[in-house]
Amino acid sequence: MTQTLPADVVARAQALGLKARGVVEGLRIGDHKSPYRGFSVEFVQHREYVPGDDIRHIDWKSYGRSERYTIKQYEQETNFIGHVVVDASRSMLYGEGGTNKLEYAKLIAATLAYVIIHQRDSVSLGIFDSAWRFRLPPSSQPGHMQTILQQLESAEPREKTAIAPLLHDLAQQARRRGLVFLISDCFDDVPSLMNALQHLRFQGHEVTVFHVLHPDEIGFPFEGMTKFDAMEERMHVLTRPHLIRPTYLRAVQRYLDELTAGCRANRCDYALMDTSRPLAQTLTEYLARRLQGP
Amino acid sequence: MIFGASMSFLAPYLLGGLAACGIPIALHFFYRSRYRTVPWAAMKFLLDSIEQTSRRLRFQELLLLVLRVAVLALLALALARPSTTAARGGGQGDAVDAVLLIDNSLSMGARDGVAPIEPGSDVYLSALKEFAAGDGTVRRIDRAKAAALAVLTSLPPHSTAQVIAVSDRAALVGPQTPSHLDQARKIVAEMELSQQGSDLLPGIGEAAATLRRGQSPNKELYLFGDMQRRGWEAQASSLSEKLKELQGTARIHLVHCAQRTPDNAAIVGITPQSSLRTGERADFAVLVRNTSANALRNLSVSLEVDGKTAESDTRLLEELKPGETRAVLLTGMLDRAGRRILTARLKADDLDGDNRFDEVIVVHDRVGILVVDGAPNDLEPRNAGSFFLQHALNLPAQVTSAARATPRSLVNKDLCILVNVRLEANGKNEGGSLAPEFVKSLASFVRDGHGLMIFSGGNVEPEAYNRLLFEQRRLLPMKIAKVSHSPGDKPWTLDRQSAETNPFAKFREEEGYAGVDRIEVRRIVELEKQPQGTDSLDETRVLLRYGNGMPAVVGRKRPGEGEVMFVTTSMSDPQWTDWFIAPPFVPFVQMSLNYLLQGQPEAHNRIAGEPLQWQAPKAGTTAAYDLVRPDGESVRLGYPETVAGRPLVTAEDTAKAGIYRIVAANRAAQPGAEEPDGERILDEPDGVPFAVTPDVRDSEQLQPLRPEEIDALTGAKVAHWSAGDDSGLFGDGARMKSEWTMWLLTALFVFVLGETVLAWFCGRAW
Repeated sequence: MTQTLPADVVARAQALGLKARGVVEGLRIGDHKSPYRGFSVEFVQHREYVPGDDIRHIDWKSYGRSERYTIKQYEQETNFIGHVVVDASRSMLYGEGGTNKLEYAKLIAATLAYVIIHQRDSVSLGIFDSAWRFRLPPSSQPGHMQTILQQLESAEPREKTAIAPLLHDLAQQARRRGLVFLISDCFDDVPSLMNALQHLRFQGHEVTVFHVLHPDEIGFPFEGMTKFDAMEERMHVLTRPHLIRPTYLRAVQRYLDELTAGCRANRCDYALMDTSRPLAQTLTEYLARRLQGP
Repeated sequence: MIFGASMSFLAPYLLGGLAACGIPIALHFFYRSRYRTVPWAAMKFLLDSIEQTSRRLRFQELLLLVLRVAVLALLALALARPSTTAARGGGQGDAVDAVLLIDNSLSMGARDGVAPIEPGSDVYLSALKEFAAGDGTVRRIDRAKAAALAVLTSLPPHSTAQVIAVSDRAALVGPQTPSHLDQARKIVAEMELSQQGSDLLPGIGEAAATLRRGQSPNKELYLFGDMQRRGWEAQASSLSEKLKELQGTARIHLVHCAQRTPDNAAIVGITPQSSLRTGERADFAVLVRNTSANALRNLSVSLEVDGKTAESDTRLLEELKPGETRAVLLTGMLDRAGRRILTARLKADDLDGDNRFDEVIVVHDRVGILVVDGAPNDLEPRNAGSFFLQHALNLPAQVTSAARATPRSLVNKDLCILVNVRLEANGKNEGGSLAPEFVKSLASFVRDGHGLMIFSGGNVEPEAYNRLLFEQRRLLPMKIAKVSHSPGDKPWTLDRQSAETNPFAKFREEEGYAGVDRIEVRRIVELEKQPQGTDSLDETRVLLRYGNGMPAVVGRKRPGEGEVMFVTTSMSDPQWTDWFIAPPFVPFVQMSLNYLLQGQPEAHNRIAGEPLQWQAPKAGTTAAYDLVRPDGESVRLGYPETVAGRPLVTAEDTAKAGIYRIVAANRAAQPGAEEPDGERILDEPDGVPFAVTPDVRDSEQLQPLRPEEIDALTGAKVAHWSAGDDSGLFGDGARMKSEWTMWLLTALFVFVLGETVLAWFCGRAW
């Protein structure tokens, strides 16, 4: 990945923006809702006055109509923290050129980070395989983007995937509710992964799973005698792939179904990112869908 | 029809195609070794898929591999054209190298039913009608020939055929160009009976050699014969091996040509009953044997001399029981000296070949016999050593003592008999001893072809006999070891079963001589066993033995010379034996006398198939000779060949019984013609006669063997047919039935279909 993001991707993502769909906790007033109730511009509800309340918040118009003291409550808007978590395990190395899963994932991560920073929100970056390989604390400074790009550029896969423990770790550490973007091929145990997502959700995070898959992994288009060398393990399989294709496809479909169902159950966004499709298209689809709401 | 179940191939070299079975296996491993490598991330799903499908895929792969191997194997097998016969033969429509072995032995002349009257298009029946006699009867050979013609007709196009005549020998009779089947048919149609015995081994051997020369991979051997036991048992083990060997290269068909056992009587011999002198009517015993299973009645037996039928003596045998041999006493007038021809005839039975029996005898004008008595007794002639011998001779003989015997005594003598003669002087001996000159002249006497008979006794000194007669003059057949006494009161007896050859073969053959076994002998001259390689071993043979196996009578005959006969016991001393007073003594002396006087009568009396050999006179060594056969045809024999210093004329072709004559070439019409120097080549104006008799052993068992008996005897798997079976059965029918190619091709089609379906099914991913 170059440090220059594709212009079309950035332009489209920027146009659509990234708004926190749920409630996020911000340090300063921004575009996003905050769980902290106060007296701001966004009216929420009326309540009966009780002694001790600031009389400045009494709604006199309501008193004129009903002769009862009521207090006006407002929702406070704030900026959010986006946690971009990128899987850099060896399995992500599959694919050539633009269809390489890791490159695709890096582009997604960079684009998301750019959009978040551009909205003056904070973004953190985590790169992992079986452990955290790199973590960048959240920041909304424009210079933060450069650091993110550098780290993404230098990310090198070393180990096999182990997502669930790391997400648990993230859930533990990120106390403040925010947005978590998991970019991975998710070749891990699905129940464990779901468990981790649930943990994040329990902590109040809004979670989006970018499931990056190469078209070969989805369609299994091989013919003839083929030796499959495992990328994350020392093993290989010699077979005639066309004879096992239906079985393979059934297994993949079962896995995808399980994954999407799990995400839905945990109210996480799930986006299947086929690396054969242009990133601009897939990301735009996701952002547009997000805009439309759940 | 009985077929062996073993598998053979018509084109076995195509079995090499079985090697192609390795191709699918090689391809299987080749393609497994040719693969592309893909680094793969989604291993979990791949492993899941393989876990679910690997067993099924492996099974499908194995099944497909097996099917492909089976397809190629079936293809190779089909091309090799398997056949379930005991041998290799052609498939339907394929050209065949056929060898037709036709038994033309004596027994094939037996009448065997009549030809069918109704007309038909069948080759066998029409041929049989053609071969039938005027009264419609057919012989076994006719059935064989008709069946052979039917087989020739049924052979596929481009086939070849060779015809072999077999009796106790085999002759490839053609055709010269094997593919000329018309020529083969002509040969078969013209094939004649021989009067030789049966022995199938030479025929099978010749057939095997002929088949080996054939070019076609499809070979068939047909044997047409009466399948009589003798032909199969003569050399059973060798025949069995040969057939087993042959069944690997050819399909063997045995065509049984005998449908019934004929009623048959055979003349098996003529025995002179008295000495043969000119001007006398001599007695002869004509031996007639019933070889059939039924009693034969009113058999007419006749005997004639030199073909003079007008003077023939005829007797009628009212009844001859099955297996019985009867001696019919007939007389013949011997009006001239020299070789005379006796012909005995028998009328009325089913086999003509053994109803005539010829024998050449030698008739003397005057017989000169010198008896040298080593123990003369003028006062009491009864006690003389030669007393009993002289009576048994029944001929006038010159008797002299050993001391008086001189070389002149041998002049004009045909036979000399030494009785208990001492060779060296000894004062105690009254008879004296032989003079050395006499012994020397005795050697010349024998060299000139005259006979010598030596009887033992107390005067026989082993050392002198060995030195003078054995070593110096080579007259004694064997060396004398010592004089032996029988143990105590257990005298030895003669063993007539030991008389295997002439002149005493009749002792063994005829029950009338059972008394020979009761002759007691208490003292003998024991002979030394001769070591192998001794010169005299080939010249010497034991003619008669005692019960303990020791020689009783020994003969020694050198080529071209007279024979010496040595009797190892006394003929006058009762302390040695009582032989000379026993009834068989006279026949013994007469047999010996006739044998020694006739010189080589057996050389002029041969069995059909045996070669005729005659020593040409010195005057005729540069002349060529012809053979006049019984049918009057003359065959050129050529010039005499010198063998061991003797000019010999040999005639090989004696398949027919009857009288053969050797005559000077181109003089058949002028018998007794003279050479330019005036010396006659042949003393006998009609040529030198030879009597060739049928091999009567062949008609002793005329009952044919059944197929299962033949199978048990040979152990070979052959097909059996009866002459008259539909020729198609042992022609194309058998070929078609035996070949498995069609079945294999059908199986191949099914397998190919199965492979295609399975390959399509396995190619589908599911």
